Amino acid sequence: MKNAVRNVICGTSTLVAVVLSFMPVITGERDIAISAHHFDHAVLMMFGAIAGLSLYRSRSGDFESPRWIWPALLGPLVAMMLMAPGFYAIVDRAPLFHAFNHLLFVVIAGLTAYAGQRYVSGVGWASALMLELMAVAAAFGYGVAPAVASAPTAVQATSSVARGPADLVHGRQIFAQNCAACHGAAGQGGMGPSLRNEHIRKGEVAAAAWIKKPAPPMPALYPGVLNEKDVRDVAAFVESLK
Amino acid sequence: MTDATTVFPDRRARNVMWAYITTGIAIFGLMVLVGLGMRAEQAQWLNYGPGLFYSLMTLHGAGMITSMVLCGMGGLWYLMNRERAMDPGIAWTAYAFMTIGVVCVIASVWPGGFGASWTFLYPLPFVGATWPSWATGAFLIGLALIMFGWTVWCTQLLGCVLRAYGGLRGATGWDLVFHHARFEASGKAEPPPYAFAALVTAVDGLLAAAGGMLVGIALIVHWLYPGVAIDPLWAKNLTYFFGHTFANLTIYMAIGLVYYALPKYADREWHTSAVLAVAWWGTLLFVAIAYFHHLYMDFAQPQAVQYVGEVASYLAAFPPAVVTIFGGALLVYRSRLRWTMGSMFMYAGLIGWLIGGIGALIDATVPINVSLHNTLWVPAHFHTYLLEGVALFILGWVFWNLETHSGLTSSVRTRWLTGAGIFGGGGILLLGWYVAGADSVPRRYAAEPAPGPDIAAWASIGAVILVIGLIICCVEAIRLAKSPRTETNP
Repeated sequence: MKNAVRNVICGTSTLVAVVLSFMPVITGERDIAISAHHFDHAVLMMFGAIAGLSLYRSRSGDFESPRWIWPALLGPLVAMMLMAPGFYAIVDRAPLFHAFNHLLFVVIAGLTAYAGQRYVSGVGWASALMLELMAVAAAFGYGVAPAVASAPTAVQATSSVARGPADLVHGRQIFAQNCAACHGAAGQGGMGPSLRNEHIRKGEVAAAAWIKKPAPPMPALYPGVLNEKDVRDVAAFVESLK
Repeated sequence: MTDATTVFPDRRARNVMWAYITTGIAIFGLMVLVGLGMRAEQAQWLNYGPGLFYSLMTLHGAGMITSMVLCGMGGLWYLMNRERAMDPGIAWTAYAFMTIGVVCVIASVWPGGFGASWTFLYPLPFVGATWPSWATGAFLIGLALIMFGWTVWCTQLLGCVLRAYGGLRGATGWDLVFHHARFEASGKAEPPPYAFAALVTAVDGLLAAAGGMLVGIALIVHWLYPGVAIDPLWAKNLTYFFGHTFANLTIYMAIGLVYYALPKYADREWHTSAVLAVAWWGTLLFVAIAYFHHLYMDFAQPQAVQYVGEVASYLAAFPPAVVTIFGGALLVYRSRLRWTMGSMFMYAGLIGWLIGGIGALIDATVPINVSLHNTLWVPAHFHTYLLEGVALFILGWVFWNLETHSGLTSSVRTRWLTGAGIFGGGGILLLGWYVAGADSVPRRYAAEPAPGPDIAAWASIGAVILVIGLIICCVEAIRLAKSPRTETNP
């Protein structure tokens, strides 16, 4: 009975994981945000790991099976290397290849969890959890760069063309009126942090987003004091500070 | 396949332990000299320039943490191997990964000239680097190998703990705490105190490794494909989640050794109690979330986690202070403790841990951190913790083994000379950082503003005395190791 339940869980998880893996083929999706893509992988790997854990049949005795430790530990590393956002442009162009790439994640997750259990009963849960934590955490910053000067995404590039170029002279005026008291007349810092070389830490889009919705103690001046154009111009000015 | 009935010759387990410990101590000795060289540069006794200083600082940081971790790994692996036999091949492979990693880190610094420090913050080391790109790669790969070796070891230790005490429930002492009468009636033995140290090290070590490996892989991918950018705040969180936890666990590994050996000196037992179990549950949680105190100055960090950082930093201090340090003091009190090199180091290590912990708590207090952040107060507290805490526990464990092995103890004069060197010289060295930190002298500066150089000169004298103490200690250890063997299995 127990084994039958395990078989059902294993089969269902595998089926869900396979269907989800082929979503790029089914939906023909393109240019998905990297953070969302990482979450997709985390979900795929979760089902793969569940399948791997339920595949394991516990044995009586107190065993350590040394050779199984290696797939249990290499799995998370290989998965994170394969999740390199540098590959996304390639896999996005070929949905079928993308789907097989996803299937690979499922296999890796299943193997990681199963091998951990085979090594020592209970360790599979730890290795699966480790892989899952890494996959979820990856969504928050691995290849996701609100804060580093990088090539704009297609959406960002399109919207900035639509809005036209920023006015640095106007941005300087806005800065002098609203920002210089804390950040210094030349952005050298004062009560607030220095904004020199801010372009290394934040791209223009991220800088504008920050100005619109800052964290305390920085005051939120949008949309009351500053309008959309003011924000864009002052963000561009801040980005130009060296 | 290794089952519970397989009995490995104890010699094989001892070989594993001594390989880890001697490698760790060799790196430690080298890094002490590097540290002395750095303090001498700050004192303006030497003048080799900031480029080399920052490379040496990077090597010193990575090397010291790795050396302490290696020593703790060897000792705790040996102790837990007595509970359930573990495959030495896995331990040797972990050792190989770590030593190859150390070689890569050394190569990145010399001849590579890498100098971004071991807990560098992205976009370092890719922006403004004065060293070649291969040095960055060698450093990142070196750290990744060290981390992978650590992961292998933690996994094996976790497996051992789960096997020995019937899964997580038994290993955490759950029934001991919540179903005490039933547990007593079952006749099961509770895990020994050092098994709690092993469990916490394995679990928090794997969590830290997950964070470290993720940010490590992201950095390696960025090194290979510069177009793959990383969120700096995310990277900083993961870097310190890994770095702080990894460094913090060194003392929890080492205290496992003290749990075993100090009672032998005192001829008493260190019992497992419900209080001890609960204290280690607290440690399990708080060690993993205290790292937020490294990001107090990051105003982009969500404010709620800043509160978590302060509260967790304070709460992390309670379990060791109440259970281990106070428990250790009570164990020794009126016990007719045999004062030898081993017991001296272990007991002094408890005091060092207490002082370093208080220094850390002061810095983890937000209003005080505003003033002490990135001053020499920071190296003051972690050097107290590592040099007069972890390192002393390790030396204590080494001498416990050597004294048991030889049946000999050191003369009173040798103990006084060693103690004067290590505690006296070490005290002067540490005081230099505390005084300079309280005076706002910045950390990680090759050339410090006044009064930094004057204080550094005094601290360097302390460091020289410390080195003399360590040399005497080393000579004494070799003497004991070379004496005829009287007992093989402490």
